[in-house]
Amino acid sequence: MRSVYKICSLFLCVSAPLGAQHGQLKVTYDFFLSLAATEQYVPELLVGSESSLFLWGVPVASNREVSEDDLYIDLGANDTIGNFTYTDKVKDSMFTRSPFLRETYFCLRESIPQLPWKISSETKKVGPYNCERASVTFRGREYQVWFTREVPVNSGPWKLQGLPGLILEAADTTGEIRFRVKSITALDTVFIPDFNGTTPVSTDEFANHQRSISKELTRLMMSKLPRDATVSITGQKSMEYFD
Amino acid sequence: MKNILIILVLFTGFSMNAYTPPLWEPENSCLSREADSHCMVITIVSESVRQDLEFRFASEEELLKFDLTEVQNALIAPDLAAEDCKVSVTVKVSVGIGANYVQASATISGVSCSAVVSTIQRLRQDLMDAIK
Repeated sequence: MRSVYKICSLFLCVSAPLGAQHGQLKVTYDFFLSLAATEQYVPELLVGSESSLFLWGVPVASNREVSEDDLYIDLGANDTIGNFTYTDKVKDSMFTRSPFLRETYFCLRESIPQLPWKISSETKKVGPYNCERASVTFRGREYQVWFTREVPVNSGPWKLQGLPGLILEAADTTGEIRFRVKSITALDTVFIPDFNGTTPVSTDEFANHQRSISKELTRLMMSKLPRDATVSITGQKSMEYFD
Repeated sequence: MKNILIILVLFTGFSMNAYTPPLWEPENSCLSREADSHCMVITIVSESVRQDLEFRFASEEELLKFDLTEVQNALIAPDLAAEDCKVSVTVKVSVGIGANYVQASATISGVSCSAVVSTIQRLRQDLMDAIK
């Protein structure tokens, strides 16, 4: 666990610019994640010919809706790196760095998901781009996206990719996950991580860790509360479900 | 034990980032918190009365050092004045962990009504210490 955290922390430190390459892009999104509070991120998607990096960073704003929850604690950004998803098309690998309790992180390594997109005939303009609508069900959520063939890269925010054009807008049907493009600029550098010595966890291991959050949280709370206190888990949500 | 429901709502900003104005604002001022602002709402519901108390704080330290007698003196629920008054205090906690979110509640029973606020603050601090 600790070694995984250390290695993941080094991710951006060992990254190096490759120099100008044709067709590299930096796409900036607004990203709203509303699992509890609505956290607003301004992530960047760096797109190269053989890889892409979707870097969440840390939330720039948080807003709390009227709720029965009493105390909200955000553990999502314990360092300046935060969450990211790196896609290596050559090695058919996707790496995702996700925070866990007690300032630890997991690196999930998986094959690039083959998403069964359904493209509809519906169109609209997003900024100057003509977009088409597509939908997919991925890990427990149904996503509706708008993509444009005028930017012919098969990338998009987070793990949403595989369409014949850049995804500019995406949202799941619950409204808990929303991406909206802010800008697209040419990029003359791209970050390539060095995973030498890394032992990322598998999808099964990652899913087990995700399921264990409630149990671990209960244990942490009980360790500090008086003996006569009771703790119960009343809900858990995730951006992706592996069952 | 008296049948009294006590709901605590605390909003505390932990962000170390520059604040960006939110895109929308809920109507309730205490529920539309700014980063680095702190707010406490205590709602007490008994058979005879409902009472809402709202306090705002400039810092987390100020919240934790808040003079409890101010709240205790403001309590008007008649059940809370009884010497044998005991209640249960529940603090609900929502924890965001990147792409995951867990909601939990912690309850302490048999709390003297005169110790409600101090119990809430202790629970809150204990939970913060446990999780962060």
